[in-house]
Amino acid sequence: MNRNVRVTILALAMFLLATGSFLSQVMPALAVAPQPTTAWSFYVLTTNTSTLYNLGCNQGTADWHNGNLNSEIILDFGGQASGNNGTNLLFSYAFVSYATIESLAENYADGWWICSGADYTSVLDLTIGTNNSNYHIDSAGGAAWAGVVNTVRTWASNNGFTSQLNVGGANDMEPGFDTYPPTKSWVDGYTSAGGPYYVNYGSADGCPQTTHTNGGCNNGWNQDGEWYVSYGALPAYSTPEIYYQSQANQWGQIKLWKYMAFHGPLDEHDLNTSTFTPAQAWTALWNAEGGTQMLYSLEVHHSN
Amino acid sequence: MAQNRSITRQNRSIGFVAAGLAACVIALVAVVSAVASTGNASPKGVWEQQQAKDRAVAIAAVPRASKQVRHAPSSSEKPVRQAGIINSRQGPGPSSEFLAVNSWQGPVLGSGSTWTVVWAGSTGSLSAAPGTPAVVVHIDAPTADGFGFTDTPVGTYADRAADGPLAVSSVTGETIVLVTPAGNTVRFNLQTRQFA
Repeated sequence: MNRNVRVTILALAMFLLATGSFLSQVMPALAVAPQPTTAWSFYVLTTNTSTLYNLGCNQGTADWHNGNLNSEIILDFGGQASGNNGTNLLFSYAFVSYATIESLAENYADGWWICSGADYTSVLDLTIGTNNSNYHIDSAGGAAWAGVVNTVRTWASNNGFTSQLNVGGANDMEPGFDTYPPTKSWVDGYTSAGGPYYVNYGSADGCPQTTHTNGGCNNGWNQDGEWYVSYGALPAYSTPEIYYQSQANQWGQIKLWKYMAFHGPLDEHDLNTSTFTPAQAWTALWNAEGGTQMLYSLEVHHSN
Repeated sequence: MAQNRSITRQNRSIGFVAAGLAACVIALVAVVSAVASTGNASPKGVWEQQQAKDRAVAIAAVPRASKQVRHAPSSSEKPVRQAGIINSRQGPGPSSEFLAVNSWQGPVLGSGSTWTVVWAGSTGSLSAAPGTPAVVVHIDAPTADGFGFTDTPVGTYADRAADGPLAVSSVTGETIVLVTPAGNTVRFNLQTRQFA
């Protein structure tokens, strides 16, 4: 072989090697990453602060004894009530005031803090959740929820919890619950009121599973609306419900419509065994979205 | 002559290697700056940086809490239920499984504090296809400490003959009266858990 050709091939090989080595650092791997240990989220069905303390303690113990794990959990308090002064819990529709919700979340945080013991490095993302099915799916509702979250966040800061506790909001936004315009108003109200990060743990029902051209979803939503409330708004992130393969497909297409990052999948296998396990939900969302940012695995349970 | 040709060839080879290396460096610099600028310049990137700064300030401002003592206040508020029709779309779970129009809850035939909860609407749909008109029935009882409720699912009952999602209209005794968007009436017996 001509020496010049050999040298050219050598230079080209060096270039490809260097580029490939760099890209392997910044591009997602094709293989599915190992699923992190699943953290338990809760539909809160009680106002007993000791119960919430114990649930936090369980998570703190688990995070510590599993090698100082970072986790993210959602405490779901149901939809906001008509007076915008509390929520109606799931199932019983019992009213709970915002002050009690703050106290319950603080007790969960306290339990986690104390029971994480000698673990001084792991960080818990504690998110306080509502949904878009009840009242105040509007700017005032979003602002009020930012107030609840910031009250707990300030309490955590004033008490020296911030190094291991990152308090945020959460909202189970589903197209079937309400239309896009009021839900967007809630998000914008939350953002304007200085709400910290929140996760949308809802669904994208009816959205396309194989196309990403801003297709329509149920109840007048479209892919861009789902993207906005799940990543487009400044504090928005997503831990979508991945109960079925179709849901992973829908979120994968939304990410192809516009870039977004997922904190990880939420499953409900403990409540409905016909739905995906944590491992199935993790693999399905990873494969559908490319797995570039997934950090957590979440599963919802009942608090009592 | 032959020696000169060999030197020229060597120089040309060195030139190729140098060009290859230069291409590597330029490509890497371009990719690095593209990645860096994408991460930092977007409004979301700026917002994330500010959040991280605020968090760092909060961590520095207050000493780490002791892990020996409790800090959170307790609460004594007991949740209060309301009997009757509830005009809310909050259902018993995700809307992909059941899409509630409204609900009714209360004691049935002297069941005391153990209440029946009925959500009316249609089975949910992950796709754009409409669900089947149905009701979901649960039983809710107060927990021993009085701070919460234990929820027990009873079943989902579909009425394929109905012409649209159901809504609770009224309740008389053990019969719950439901209406469809077209105004047609359907009755559901809370005791036998069957459509009449």
